[in-house]
Amino acid sequence: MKNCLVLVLLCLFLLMALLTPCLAIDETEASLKISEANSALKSAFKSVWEAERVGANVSDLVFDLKIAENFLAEAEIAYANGDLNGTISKADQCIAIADIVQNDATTLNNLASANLWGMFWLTLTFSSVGIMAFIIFLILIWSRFKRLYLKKMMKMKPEAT
Amino acid sequence: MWILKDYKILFIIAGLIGTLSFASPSLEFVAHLQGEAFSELWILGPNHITDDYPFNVTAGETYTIFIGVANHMTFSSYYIVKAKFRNQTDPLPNSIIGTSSSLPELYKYYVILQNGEKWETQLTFSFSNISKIENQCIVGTLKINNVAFIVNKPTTWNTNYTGYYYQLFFELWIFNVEIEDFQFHNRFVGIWLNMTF
Repeated sequence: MKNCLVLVLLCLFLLMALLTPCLAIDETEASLKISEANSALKSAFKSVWEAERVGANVSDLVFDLKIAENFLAEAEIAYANGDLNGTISKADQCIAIADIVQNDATTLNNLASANLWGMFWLTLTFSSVGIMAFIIFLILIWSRFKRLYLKKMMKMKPEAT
Repeated sequence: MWILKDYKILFIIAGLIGTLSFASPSLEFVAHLQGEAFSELWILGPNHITDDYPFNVTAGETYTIFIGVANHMTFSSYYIVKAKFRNQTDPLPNSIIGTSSSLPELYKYYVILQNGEKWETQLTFSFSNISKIENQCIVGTLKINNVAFIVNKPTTWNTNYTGYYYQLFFELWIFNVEIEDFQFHNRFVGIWLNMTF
């Protein structure tokens, strides 16, 4: 019975010894996680920037990006202080938010691009019609003015100086 | 007295002005007309003014400054503010060719700002493990916002200004979406520190 108990304990100890390296977070893993969070944030920002360039209102997305950016900063501080579990946790939170922002930004970008083209054609039509109407109006005014001017000239009497 | 030719020129000018006025909304789409784009980076003293900056520093004391960034790039920008620590001979960023200092960054802030927005934060720093050998001073550890950095930075006695001088400076980096990476934004600010014993 005693031998059996020792054997069970030994097996448990061996199992723990084998599992420990798998569960422990090493510095490389934490560092890679920070890099991953960094890349996720960069991609998310790029998507937001592109959406903003086509006229989308990105205030809410920038607000979320700031939260993600705070998590990244906290992950780096945790890493500098040797808190590897904290690093992974914070970096994961940053990645999760950045991914959501990127998806939302892409959707917003597509909507805004469609709106932008609509606005562009509307503006172009307004400009073209406006220019044509203005030129026609100006030509009409000019011909009327010219006629009146010439008429006035004809009525004038030469003056001897 | 104006002749008909003068009136004709006047009408042509009016026509051109009118055409440009009607075309300007469309030109805005094509040319992306925008104002001057720039970013601001600043340091304020502990009283939140451009005065009373920490200067004579010693080991064990904690000092406070404020650091801020403002975005006027006409669109949202993603910045990194990098804190670096140098002695009198270490390289500073080169404003003429626009390169950053080759010194490693100690601490950094990630800042995302919309156009017209500004950001400001309080930064604390302190020194420890200071040693003095003959006319040389060595700063062992610099702590920024409670994160310790082993710097082991030596400096020699400055006979002109009588002191052991160091500089804590901050570089502004901006995310370039074209290259998908950060690049030095050619802006930096710093404060001189005189290590006392």
